[in-house]
Amino acid sequence: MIKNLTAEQEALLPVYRDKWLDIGLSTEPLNFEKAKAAVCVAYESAGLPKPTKFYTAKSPVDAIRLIKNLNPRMETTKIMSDMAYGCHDANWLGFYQYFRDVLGIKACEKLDGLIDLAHHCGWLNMYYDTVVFQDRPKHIKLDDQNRLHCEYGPAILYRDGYSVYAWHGVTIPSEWITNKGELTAKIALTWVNTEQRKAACEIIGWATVLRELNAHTIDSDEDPMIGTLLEVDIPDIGEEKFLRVLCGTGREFAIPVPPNMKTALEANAWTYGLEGNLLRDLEVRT
Amino acid sequence: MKSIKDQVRDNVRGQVWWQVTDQVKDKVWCQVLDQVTAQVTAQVGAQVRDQVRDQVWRQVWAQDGKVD
Repeated sequence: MIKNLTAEQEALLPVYRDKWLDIGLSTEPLNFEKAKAAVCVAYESAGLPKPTKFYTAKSPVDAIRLIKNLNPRMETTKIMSDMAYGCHDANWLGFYQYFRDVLGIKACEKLDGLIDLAHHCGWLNMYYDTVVFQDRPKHIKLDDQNRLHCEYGPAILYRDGYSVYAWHGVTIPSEWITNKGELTAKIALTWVNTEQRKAACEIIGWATVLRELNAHTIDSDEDPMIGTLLEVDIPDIGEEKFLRVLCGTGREFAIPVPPNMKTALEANAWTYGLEGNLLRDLEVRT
Repeated sequence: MKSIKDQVRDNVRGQVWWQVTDQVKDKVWCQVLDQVTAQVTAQVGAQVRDQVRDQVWRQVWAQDGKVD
């Protein structure tokens, strides 16, 4: 029984984490020959005969089309349920690879085929004699907090054009990015999904949205860099407070602030993690 | 009858899980989970895999199985 990790073994934990992050976020094209060899090892580990027919698809949707062409009677929901995640099984495959390689646990060798497969392909469908491999995405865009995000195009793009649009980790309709001009405050504020509604307001800009919401002023600081504290009633969400402020370049924007804020100075200081008076003192000094 | 995916992926994973838990203390298990798996799950699993999967499923349901 292994009771503790040695210092050397602990030092390898972030190495394996980073390695599997790279595998999971890889945008390398499918390596068909290596994927074929790896999936055969995986079938053998499960005590199954090796598959003999291999196909490739460029995205999950392309795989659905291809499999329906191969077997028109197969339901789309069944095809989806049959999908395994290849490189996107990185979370649990990395875990067992660590036990296999660093702690020498032989049982993990049963996963050799799947671990190898994750290096070479995206998702896949496995059937008795047939495997359909999918390509990995062509690009994956993340924000500084590692959430899916792209302001000017798809956050995930496959090689056949299939895409996912996302705003700071929330999937959004593609037209909110491709046709930003048509996203209005009215559409944003009446959108049913509240996470997407917040994303829509951020895309339009909170300052624009607040103007349309008839926000009422709670406190206005004489310094426009400190700004104005506003309260609005957002449909289905309720009363929210925002600080409308000018940035150093003279652009107006609005930031959501906690409901207990009472003055613009207090709200502005909160955005820096400071007390109100301390912010004023800092301003005077600079 | 179990699907090939269940046999190749899920069953083998389950077998390995039991064998690893027999050989390592919970403390070690949790340490690897926290320091290798957690971030990969958050970034790759929740952000990429789940978002693509959820979108394809939404399209499948919306189009009654016909995905264009």
